[in-house]
Amino acid sequence: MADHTNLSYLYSLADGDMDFVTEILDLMQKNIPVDIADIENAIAMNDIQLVQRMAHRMKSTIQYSDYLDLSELLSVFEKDNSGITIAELKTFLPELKELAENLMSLIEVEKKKIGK
Amino acid sequence: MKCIIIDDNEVARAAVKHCVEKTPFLTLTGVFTNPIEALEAIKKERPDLLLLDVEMPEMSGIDFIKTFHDIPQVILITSKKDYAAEAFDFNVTDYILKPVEYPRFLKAVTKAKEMQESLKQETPESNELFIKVTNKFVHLNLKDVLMIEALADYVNIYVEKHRYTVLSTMKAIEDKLPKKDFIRVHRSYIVRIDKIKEIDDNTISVGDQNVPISRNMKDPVMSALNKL
Repeated sequence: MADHTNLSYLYSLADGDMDFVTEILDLMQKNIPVDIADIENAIAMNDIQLVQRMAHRMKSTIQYSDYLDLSELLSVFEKDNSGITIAELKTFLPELKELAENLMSLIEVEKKKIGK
Repeated sequence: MKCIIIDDNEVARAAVKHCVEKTPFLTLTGVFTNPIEALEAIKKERPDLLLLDVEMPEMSGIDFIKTFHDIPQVILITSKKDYAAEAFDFNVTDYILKPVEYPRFLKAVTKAKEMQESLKQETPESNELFIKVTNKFVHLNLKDVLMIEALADYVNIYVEKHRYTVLSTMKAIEDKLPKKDFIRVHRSYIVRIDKIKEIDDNTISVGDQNVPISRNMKDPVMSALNKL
């Protein structure tokens, strides 16, 4: 997968089990859009705690992608007591969505590479 | 070892499930998205090990383990280091950071297996205990015991119509009692669960005695009861 990410944790955990690699990639593809939508909704609802929870959940979703740009941005959304406001988080939303879409494309490329 | 996975994230559940399936001595008996769902299965299946996420919306993993009296072993799996100190206050077996890597997972579950084996050797299953009263050893059937009360360097053991005073600490006698039958309800009191007559606010009636429940033992006491 491209420059920003590697799947070494996933391949190491899979230990040659390519069905497991595919399962995790499929789950990431399934859950990333849901997680993004939930963060967006939580922002629309002005609920900072819900934003934090949803961002935390999304970090778990992408944990095996090692996609640092996205992971670091999610940490900004997730951080408790950081003093950051919903309005400020809203300005990061386009970048979050772009990185998520990028990761989705990278997952697709990876799946093609392994023939799934 | 029978184990249960509790995690609100689908990717995390799949990863931990994969680790469990790779480990010959583990048998997966349930996968749950939140602790509330898992409660029934824990009571019914009596797993040896919970593989538990910390941050979940309905209830945190740490709050969940606080509610148990006779909890299985717990390995907490989380993306944050922040909870480690608090977690070990609740005697969790281990604490793994996400993303889970198999060697670390194997180390944690091996530790749990070793603890289970050593507990099997240590946990008394017998319902009998010999206690030293003056110069004799007296046979005590633990099924007859109502409660135990701390008394400086001694403990009072109450049976239906008698009270024995024995030189012992509460900890020493607690270690001799089957955990499924007895519960420490207060720093100074252990009661036999099936002898509890009534619980009223912060008091338990056992036989003709009323004993206090300490505030931090209220949840474990309530969870030890078969309630309707």
